[in-house]
Amino acid sequence: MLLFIVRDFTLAFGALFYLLTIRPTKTMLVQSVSFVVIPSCLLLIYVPQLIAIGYLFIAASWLFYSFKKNVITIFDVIVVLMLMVFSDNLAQLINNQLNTHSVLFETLWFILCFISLSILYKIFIKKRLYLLLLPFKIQLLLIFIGSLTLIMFYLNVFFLGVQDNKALTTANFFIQIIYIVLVVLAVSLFIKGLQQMQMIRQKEIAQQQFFDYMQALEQVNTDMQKFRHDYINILMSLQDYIENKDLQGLQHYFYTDIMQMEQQTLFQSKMIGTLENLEVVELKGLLSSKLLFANRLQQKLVIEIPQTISSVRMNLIDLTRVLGILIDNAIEASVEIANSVVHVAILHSHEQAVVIIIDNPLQDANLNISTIFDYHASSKGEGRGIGLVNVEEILKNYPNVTLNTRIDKQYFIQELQIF
Amino acid sequence: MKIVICEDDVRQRKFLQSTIIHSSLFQYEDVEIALVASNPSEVFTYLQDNRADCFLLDIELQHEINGLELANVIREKDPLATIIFITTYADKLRLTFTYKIAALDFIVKNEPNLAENLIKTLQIAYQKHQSIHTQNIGKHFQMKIGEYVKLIPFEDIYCFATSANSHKIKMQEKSGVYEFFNNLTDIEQQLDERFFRCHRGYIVNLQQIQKIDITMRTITLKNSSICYYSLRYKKALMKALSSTSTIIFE
Repeated sequence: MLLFIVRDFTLAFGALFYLLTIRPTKTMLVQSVSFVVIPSCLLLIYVPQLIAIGYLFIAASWLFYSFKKNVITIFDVIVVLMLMVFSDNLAQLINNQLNTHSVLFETLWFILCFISLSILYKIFIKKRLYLLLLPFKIQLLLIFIGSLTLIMFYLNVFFLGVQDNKALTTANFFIQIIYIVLVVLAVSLFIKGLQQMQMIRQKEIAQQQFFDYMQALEQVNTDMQKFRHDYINILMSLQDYIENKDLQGLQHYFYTDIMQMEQQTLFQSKMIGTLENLEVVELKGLLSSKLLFANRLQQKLVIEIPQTISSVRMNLIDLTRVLGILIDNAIEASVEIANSVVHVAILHSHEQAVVIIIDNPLQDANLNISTIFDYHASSKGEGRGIGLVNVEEILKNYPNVTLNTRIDKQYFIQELQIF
Repeated sequence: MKIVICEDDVRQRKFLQSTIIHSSLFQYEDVEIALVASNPSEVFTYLQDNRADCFLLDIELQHEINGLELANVIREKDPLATIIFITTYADKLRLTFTYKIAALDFIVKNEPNLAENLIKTLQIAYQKHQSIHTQNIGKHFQMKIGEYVKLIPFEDIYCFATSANSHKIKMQEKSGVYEFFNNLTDIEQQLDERFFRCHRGYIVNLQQIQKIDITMRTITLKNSSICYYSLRYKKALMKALSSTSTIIFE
């Protein structure tokens, strides 16, 4: 009995640390043993097993949630507990089939099944789930479905599995298999739908940004026509001021009337000028929307594109997401600093490689640069660090893209190189 | 150090020339003005059979080839040449200057202390010129970003680590995190004795180690990031560390 408990706990915790890619520290192990293992063992002895397992589930969920601070970890706890039941059944079945009625063999089969199932889960499902960045509601839904399934599994084990019946175990096992296949199918269809929805949303954003850019372009065009139409009038009134030698009046007229009126046009035509060399429509849309955004916040944003950029070797949805996050961060950090300028440049380095540089002045020079990609590290409070985590997640999929993050002479500089 | 000046405005050209000639820099025997050109073609012709170490270029040259393209040609011919831009576009092209042509600096035209800035920049160029000839770059790690070469002193580096799924190497130093393509074995060759390969995936700077956790087999560096060491390097690691006594073992 004790041996079984040790086996199960070691496997379960090992799997959880593996799935969540946590390298267990001493304190974590002590916490696991004292809050989860010992209490559930005691419960196993003194109260009905079902309650003990319930406690185990809740305590383990809470513990791993506190390690990772991420709701989806609970889902992994559920999966591990489910895999245990499933492997147990599978081991029994194999044992029965092979007619080796020794406990040792069954344990061996159990461990083998459990480990391989955990690895399969991590490789094929967990990674994809993590990349999706599921909305919180969906995460809760997944956990809810998982908990229900878990409860059904254990009820099933306790009400039917008590009698050691070969036929019943087999039937049970097949029911479980069918159930799991159905759930996996349903969830994967659901995730696929979500993925498509996210992609469509990204495309919509890109389209909207490009539309804004087109509108700005059109505005400049009409303004220019209007200007051409009025400029004779403007010249006449300027002449009036000059003939009367009314320098003050001229100044006033020029700066308040003409310049004010034309400021928007000037800004827009300047913006179109800067993006002239950029032939990648999606990026053009993104950068123009960032220029408009910075202009609204009265933050100076200078974009340099000295040569024609016609293609970039990266999925454009991913690239616009990454650049969007990096530029937003740069703008947000600079708004608080007076007279600050955010610089962005897109350059060709050798051959087809593209370098994108984003830099902004820095207020706090003591930033620990190696921690800014941590989930919770953000100089501006909770939740803000998530952007950079997303950047790192996206870039992990590109072996041809590197990102440098550094501080140089009070500037925070990010260099994205796409080879 | 051979200096080439390319500037279309006569007055400005004369001003640059006389500023350099009258500066203290010009007293060094090896400083000379090799060419004063009014347009890029002259520089091209000059570069056919000659070379120079330092180029002072006006970016707004009224010519079919602008300063940027001229700089590119110079870079192709001589990657080590120093390029200094003189411009009125204060910082419109700051990043381009740095990353595209690795310009040493740019000097803003209509500023009152133009002459002073010019001499200061030329002095830096001169020092750089001297150091190229004495080959004094052994203690730095070189990173190339675009055309810009960043030299990182060995003492600032914490560690090198391989990333999980590609040939990318991640390097952490005091003021930055860098990624590039290489492998740790090649990097090891470029480093000196203060670095130690403690794991298949890690090289650490021994002088940046804060503490070592023997049970977890981790090394915590002074920037609080964590590296691992593997058993087969443990003995050598301990031996390499025995000289430094400030490390905490756990």
